[in-house]
Amino acid sequence: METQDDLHRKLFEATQHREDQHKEMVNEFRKHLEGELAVKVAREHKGAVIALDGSLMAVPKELDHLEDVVAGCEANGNILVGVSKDSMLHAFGRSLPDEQYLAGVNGMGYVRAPKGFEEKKRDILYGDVYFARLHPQAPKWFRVDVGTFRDDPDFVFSHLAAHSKSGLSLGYPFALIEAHRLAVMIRQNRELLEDEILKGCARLGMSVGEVAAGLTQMEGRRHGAFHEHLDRIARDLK
Amino acid sequence: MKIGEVIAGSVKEGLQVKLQLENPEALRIGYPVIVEGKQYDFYCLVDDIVNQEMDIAERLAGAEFRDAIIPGGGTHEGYGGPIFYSKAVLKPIQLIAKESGDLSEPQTIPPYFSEARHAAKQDVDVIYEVTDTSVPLGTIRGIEPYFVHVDFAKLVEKPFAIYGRTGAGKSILNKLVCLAILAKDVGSVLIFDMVGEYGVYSRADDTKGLKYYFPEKVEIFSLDPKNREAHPFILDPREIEPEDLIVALQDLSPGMVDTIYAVNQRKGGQDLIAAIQNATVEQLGEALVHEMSLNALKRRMNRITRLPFIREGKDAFAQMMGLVRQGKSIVLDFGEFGGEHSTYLFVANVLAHRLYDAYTERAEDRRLVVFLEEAHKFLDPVVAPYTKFAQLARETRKFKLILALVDQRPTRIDSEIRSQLANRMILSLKEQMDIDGALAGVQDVAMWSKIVGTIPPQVVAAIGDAIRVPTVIDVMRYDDENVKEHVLGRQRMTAGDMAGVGEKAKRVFGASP
Repeated sequence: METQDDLHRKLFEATQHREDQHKEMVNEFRKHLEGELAVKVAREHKGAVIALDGSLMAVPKELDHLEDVVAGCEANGNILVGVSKDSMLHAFGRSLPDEQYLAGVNGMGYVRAPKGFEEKKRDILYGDVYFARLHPQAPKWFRVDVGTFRDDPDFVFSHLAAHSKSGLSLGYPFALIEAHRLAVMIRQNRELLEDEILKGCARLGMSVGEVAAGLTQMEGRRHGAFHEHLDRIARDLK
Repeated sequence: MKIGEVIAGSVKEGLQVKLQLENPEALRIGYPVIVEGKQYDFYCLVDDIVNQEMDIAERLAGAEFRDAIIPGGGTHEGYGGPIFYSKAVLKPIQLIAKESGDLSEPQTIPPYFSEARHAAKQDVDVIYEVTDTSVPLGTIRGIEPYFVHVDFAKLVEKPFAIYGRTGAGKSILNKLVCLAILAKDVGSVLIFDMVGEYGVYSRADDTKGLKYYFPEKVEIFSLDPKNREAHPFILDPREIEPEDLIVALQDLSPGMVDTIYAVNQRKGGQDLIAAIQNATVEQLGEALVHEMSLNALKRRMNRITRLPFIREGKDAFAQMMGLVRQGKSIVLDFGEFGGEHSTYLFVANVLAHRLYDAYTERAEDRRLVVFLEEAHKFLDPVVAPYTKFAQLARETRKFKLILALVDQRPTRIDSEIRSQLANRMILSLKEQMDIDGALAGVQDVAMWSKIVGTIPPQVVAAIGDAIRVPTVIDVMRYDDENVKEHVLGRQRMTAGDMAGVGEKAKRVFGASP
């Protein structure tokens, strides 16, 4: 580890107490790349809506870019949100997860999570936590963390709703559907990508055994009803 | 403008392009498209446009979206262009070498992801040649306004055909072709004008005819004695042969046909018509003719004998040929006989006999293009043996007598004659058999079949050696401006134009003292 650069040392340290550390390292590396891209976009674009996949929580904090993303967005007047596909949050203190608790409420709108919940997470949370139904025919409420324009949620959600009118998936921002399609390409083109990895590893002098042991098999797969719904859309649009 | 990228292809089947158009309606079958390979530009025609089957489209179709955006090419842009995209199947027609501009047959395909774009004027400039004898018939589909030239010197070298269903625009195209032949002086034309369309003004729609634009080059003959402005058409009955009657009276039984030949052999000094009218079974013998056949034939002969232009006198054919030798063209106006099919068949066939003899035996020098409307009536495999037109189509290109077939039922034209055609101008056809007949012997017949079956009226697929590559052309509107601008050429001025200029000059400068 001593010979590794700062980023790789951080990756190792942040994941060393987790199960299947090699997989977790890959996952954190992916998040690092996503974070770098988000910073770039936040700094290069003005007046845009930047929607990240997932909450705006910096875990682990030492590897995160959210602070820079928020700063970039604030400087350029960008709306920053994090949209969680499947949230298991119980911020409302009910036995049901908040998403399911809100499922009985129709129409469109947004509601802020109890502040008590936010206070507990304030050290890692970069924004305010809401649940929103962004289209009257949306199948569900989504957790949406608002990172900028926090004093004007109407402004934020009206913009976000305007991007959530695609018939492909009502109430979910179209750009995130497209991001999901890109993410699952790894599954659709697995053979091709594995070939590329093997070629790259061979160039680095690694044996096939070493490479096989390092394959994570993660392939962007995650559990959750809405995640699977998006998987199906991605598959159908292939 | 880029329209998409190549995602599949083969030399035989053509190229598949994923379209990046918001709306596939921007493309049509037959439009020219350039696919930019590395060494070549592939000049292609759109063979098909496809919305592929998608599970998600099937699920969404019919759903009631309130305030939602229906997924489509213009609204759902992804990392690879529109998520809901159409495909185009392109058929390469010609390769254009990028460095030299040389043209060659498409014997290869471009790499994956080669860019496809609408053909531009500079692309088609390389393809279509403008020669001293070329004239545009209209604009190319998909790159308006680009006027596509057809070489009329090449067109009139060999038999050609204009096919199209009723209302597809045959007459307009026919007029443009005739005017172009006259404008470039690559030959004379003989046209059987059944409804008075080609003379000075069309009786049908009042458009200007050949004589209007070329008063000094066109002579009108009329079968109608009441028409005093035209040369009278007189047919000497002694020139009539059995085949003329057989073709004219297409409802003859085999017995009646035998009777005509029997009478012809024994007619002595009489003309054939008189001989039939005077014939008796006793004279000819019962072994040769049957009384019922003879009587039935005589009754049918009334259709011929009542024609006022069949009489002894100054035979019009010699006069016509004299005019043709002087470089003139002939419009044969049928006047009041225009609605009588048998008259048309009869007159056309008689003239065909004489033309055949004139060109094969006396080697006439002036190239003559005979426009034959309702060509299938003469060239149907059943009738063809009795007409001279089949021979004209097969043989006379060696003798400068060229047949131009104009027809709506190409399938009924003898296949051997169809195979002699060097050029075809195919307007809209709907019957698949006719489409197949019109395209017999053409390369890429499946693509052309689709094109011909779907093109609207006034659009023609021009295929043959008079045009560099097979092309779908929007036939130009037939009006004074277009004809003068594009067919006759700007330099040409009619007497009327001159008079107009003179009047204007008088107004500007005042009349000379």
